Amino acid sequence: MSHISPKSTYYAIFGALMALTALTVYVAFQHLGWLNFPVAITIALIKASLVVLFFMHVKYSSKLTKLLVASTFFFLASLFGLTMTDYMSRGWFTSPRGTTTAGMLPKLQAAELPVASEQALANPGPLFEATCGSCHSFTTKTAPTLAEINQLYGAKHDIESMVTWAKAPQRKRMRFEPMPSFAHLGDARLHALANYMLQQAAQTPPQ
Amino acid sequence: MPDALAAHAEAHGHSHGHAAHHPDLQHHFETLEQQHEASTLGMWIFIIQEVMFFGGLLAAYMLYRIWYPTAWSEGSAELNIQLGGLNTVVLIGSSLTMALAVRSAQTGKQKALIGFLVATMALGLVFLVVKGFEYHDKWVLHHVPGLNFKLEEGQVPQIAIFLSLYFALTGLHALHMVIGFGIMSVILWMAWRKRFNPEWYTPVEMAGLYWHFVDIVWIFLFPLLYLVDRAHQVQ
Repeated sequence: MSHISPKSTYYAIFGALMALTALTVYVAFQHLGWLNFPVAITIALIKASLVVLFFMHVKYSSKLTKLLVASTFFFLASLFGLTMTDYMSRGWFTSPRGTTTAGMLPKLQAAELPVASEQALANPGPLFEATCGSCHSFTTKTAPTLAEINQLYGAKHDIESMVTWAKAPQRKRMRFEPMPSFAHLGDARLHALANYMLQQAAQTPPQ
Repeated sequence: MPDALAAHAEAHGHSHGHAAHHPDLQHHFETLEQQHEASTLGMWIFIIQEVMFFGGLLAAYMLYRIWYPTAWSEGSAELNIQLGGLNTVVLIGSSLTMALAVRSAQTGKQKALIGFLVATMALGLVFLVVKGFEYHDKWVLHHVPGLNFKLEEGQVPQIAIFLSLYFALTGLHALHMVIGFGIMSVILWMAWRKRFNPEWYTPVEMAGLYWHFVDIVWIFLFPLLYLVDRAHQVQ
């Protein structure tokens, strides 16, 4: 009645699926930076296509069936597209990098800035807790620890570099979320914060 | 052809026991091919809504993965690649035996059909047992959010979100496996009673489509859950 594939086709497809499974595990352990994810998804899509076309016989099905199967991508793309465009754009108006920092925004906004009085600058503890400290503590795994920051800047007491970084951070380590810019705090506060961080790190020995 | 069929329907007036058409051709279809095409389309429509069913969870997965990459990296590191990989091999193997079962039905090989159906069910069972061991490990390690979850020193709290989605996705997938096992039992029973022949084996093929779909879900779940950010953890 319908197409009968030779057994060899099924064995060949099985072999290809096994090879692609091995490949996806191998690739997962290679340092490809942001490419790791798209590569993994591409391999999964190829595997799924092999199953759909040969095991599920869509290659030999009617045009109507093919159209129906292809429509799955349209429905999935709608689901993902509409969801992601909404969520991913929510942080945009406060931070151009809101795509990855949206989860942090409530915390950052809650840290309403008091007037930069000399008293506040002399005791930056609370400001630190509300800003830098929410990621950079001694035990944190979401960002470099205070101890690590002390290793980087402490020896030369390089406050200027710390302030420059905080105003326009880059992303050195892919396993951390990118740090948002803290330029809005102003130079005076950033200097006070940088000093405070090195002080803290020097006082409390790393665990 | 429609005229002939109409005349034929009039002649026997729904009383069976005549040899004019295939016993498995239902009266609202003109040919077995047409009936088969209708079944295939219906099954695919069902599978598409299944894709959307898993799609909702996967959209949540994507969103939280973008928000909490560290939790995804650390959470994925808690999963066992060996067991996940073994299950991938087992499940793709079961898809192979399923495809061969459909082929046996197409070629009218009764014994091979039963053999491949049993093999498919056995591999499905192996998958569920391995999954059971994995769940047990998670329980012992206090990695089950909502039931016995404990955060380890220095871990980000959003690991609970990753593990919740891990259990939701793999649990839903395992439920589909259990249902698939039930469907295969019925197909096996029908095969045992020699209900299939090269002209009509639609239930075998439709059960196969379902089984392959469940396999495809796992093909995506394996890299999405087990292989997140592995390169950067090895350092």
